[in-house]
Amino acid sequence: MPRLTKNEDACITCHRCETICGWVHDVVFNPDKGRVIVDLDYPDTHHLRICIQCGRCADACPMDAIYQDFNILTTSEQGIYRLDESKCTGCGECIDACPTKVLQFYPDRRMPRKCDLCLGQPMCVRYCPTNALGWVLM
Amino acid sequence: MTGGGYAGRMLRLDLNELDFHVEALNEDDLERFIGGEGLGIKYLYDGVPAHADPLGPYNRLIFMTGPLTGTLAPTSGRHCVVTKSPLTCLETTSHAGGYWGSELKFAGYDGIIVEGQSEKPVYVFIDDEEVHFYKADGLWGRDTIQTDALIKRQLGDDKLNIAYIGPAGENLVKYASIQNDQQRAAARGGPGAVMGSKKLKAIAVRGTRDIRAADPAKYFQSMNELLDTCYGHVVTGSLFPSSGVTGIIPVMNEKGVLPTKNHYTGNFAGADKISGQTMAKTMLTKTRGCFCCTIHCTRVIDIEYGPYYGTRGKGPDYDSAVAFGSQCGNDNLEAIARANIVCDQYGLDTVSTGATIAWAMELYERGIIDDIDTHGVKLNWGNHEAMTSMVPKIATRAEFGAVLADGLDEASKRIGRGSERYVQSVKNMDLPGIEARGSKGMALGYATDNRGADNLRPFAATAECMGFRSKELGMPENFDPLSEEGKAQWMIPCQNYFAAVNSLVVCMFTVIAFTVEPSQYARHLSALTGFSFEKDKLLEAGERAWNLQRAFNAREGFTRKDDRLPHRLMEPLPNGPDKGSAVHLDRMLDEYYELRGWDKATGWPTPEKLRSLGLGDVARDLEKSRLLSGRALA
Repeated sequence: MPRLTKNEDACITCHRCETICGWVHDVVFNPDKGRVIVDLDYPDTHHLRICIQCGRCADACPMDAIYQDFNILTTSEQGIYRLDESKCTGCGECIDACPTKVLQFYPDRRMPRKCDLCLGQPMCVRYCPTNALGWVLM
Repeated sequence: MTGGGYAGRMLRLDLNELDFHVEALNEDDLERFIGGEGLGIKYLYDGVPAHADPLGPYNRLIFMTGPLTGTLAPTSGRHCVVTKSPLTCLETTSHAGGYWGSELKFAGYDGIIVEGQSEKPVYVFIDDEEVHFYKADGLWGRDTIQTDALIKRQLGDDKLNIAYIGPAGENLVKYASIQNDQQRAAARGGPGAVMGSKKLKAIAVRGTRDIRAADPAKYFQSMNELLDTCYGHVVTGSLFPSSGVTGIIPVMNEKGVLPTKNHYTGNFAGADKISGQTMAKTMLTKTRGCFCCTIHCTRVIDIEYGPYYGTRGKGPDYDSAVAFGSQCGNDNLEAIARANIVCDQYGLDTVSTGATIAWAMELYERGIIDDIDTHGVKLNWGNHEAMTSMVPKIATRAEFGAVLADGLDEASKRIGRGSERYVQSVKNMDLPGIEARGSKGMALGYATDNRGADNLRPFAATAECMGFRSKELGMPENFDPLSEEGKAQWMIPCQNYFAAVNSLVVCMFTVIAFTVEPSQYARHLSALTGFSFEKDKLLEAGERAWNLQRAFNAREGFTRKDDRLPHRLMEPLPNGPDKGSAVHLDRMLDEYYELRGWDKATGWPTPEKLRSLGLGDVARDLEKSRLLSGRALA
């Protein structure tokens, strides 16, 4: 199952993953449009929310807007779960179903921000300064 | 509005009426002043009348972000606070990291101008478009950590970023800080007291809007170059991430520039015990970065042993470790960490607090003050229990703290008995963490800086003692840190560059070892904003900001006689590697004023200089106040 991995001990909570995610998907600077979420709890704890490609959002979706894309990574039996925005009605069933609570609406429209692994090159992993994020192909 | 980088709007909060309005940024000003410190001093100069009371209703408190704030450039999470300082009565610009500045930008504002004075304590909640004023009666008197938790609970949002003052700011301690994100502080010069005088407890921000880049393709390329530069440099790529900023303490001690015992000397026997390397071995649990930071110098500590058991939070940075460590003759790192955290809790500037306690310790050791003055606190060198116990007393103006809370000038006047001889300050701002007798460029920097003694604009010790050189700022290959010759020649471009970087509002750590050169930032800024910036134009913007700060100070009546160093720096160093070295300031100053194009007698910018920088109206103002002061003298 191709998915993101995390190492919270290495995370420095710089929010670069959120910001680069917003940049590569929407070409804006806005960490609230990230498909990775960093939660801070002072003084010294934090949590990373990442998409583990479990597919529960796809199961929950009444419109079948979330589908598996097998064209991106061919070494796996399972594809990447992606969102077809034209089919989405913004009902929010997928958000309720998400076990890691990473799937959230955009701040300015009723559309979930679904991680698509950057179509095979996750930029949050590439730009993390401390390698707190990683990804596996198997 | 321009292509990118800016949010394009300023928020004005009127605390007299508890009202707000939003205004657009002037595009001409953006190109001339960039943002941050430069634009902030413009708003301050235009908005605060000469000789206004810093703690009165006519002073303004200006929070500024820059074009790079909130973008993907390394260390873009900072904001700066520009105001008239109650400590120095001059302009002060203090910078803080964290996430507050970028959040403000995402809320759609490049800055906040706070005007007037509220009658009752209030706090402000900025939620994108909406601005709410709330009563802060229940928060008044609370420390910063409680304030943070209470506001988050009241507004029901854990993702808020909040800037607030602690009890020190409420009690108008003259070096109170404005804290944000719990342990980040805009502190030097006491902006917290200004915020306290306005009865503004906190500004909570939640922003979800977009910032755009003018030329995304070019921007992305230059952002990648910036990242490579920062990762590849020894300071930003390995020393600060692994050991923190306190990792340079052993080097500074070896070179004899670690100020010790109220600047008596420049080397400290216990330097290794307070260094970042020791911190990493004993109490470090993890590191943190500000927004989009690649350097992550912030240390998170947890002490699980000894008398300071249970101290958790952010660890001390370089200047705090020096102020509470070598300056107080204290080699107990746990005590330094506790004092640092208590300062953050009460909202005090760690550097000024440590330096003031060090001064009191010297007076106590010399017998100028005794147990009756200090209410029984035994302020001997290295008495760390006494040191940490003084911090809350200063913040709440209790006992001996009441004397120390008004800054060194006031305190020495109240104590008398020759105590002013031991005051180590420039323009009443306490000397920070470099012993200037071992680094003459730093001495010139202390004397000429517009906000008082300051070791970050520029951090000349990295050039003089650690050997880093900028290729583009005209620095000679070899120079002697102990010689006064030619310092002004390279200090002036450095000061301009640092002022420009402060106007971009990114972290000084990307430039203190000249990791990022001016042309690279100019390229990056052009791609982001759509203006065409080159190296020279960037440096000129810095020079313009520097001259305007100077003009603000000149309008307040400060002249060349205020560009002086404390007596102690003019006396030879008693020991250490630089034994016998003393600063001869006048030689450097003459050269400095000449190269700056300033009047050698007054130290003011000449009208020609101001006009060449496009500050003609400022030149007229200065001419007027020169006539006024001349008449007063006659």
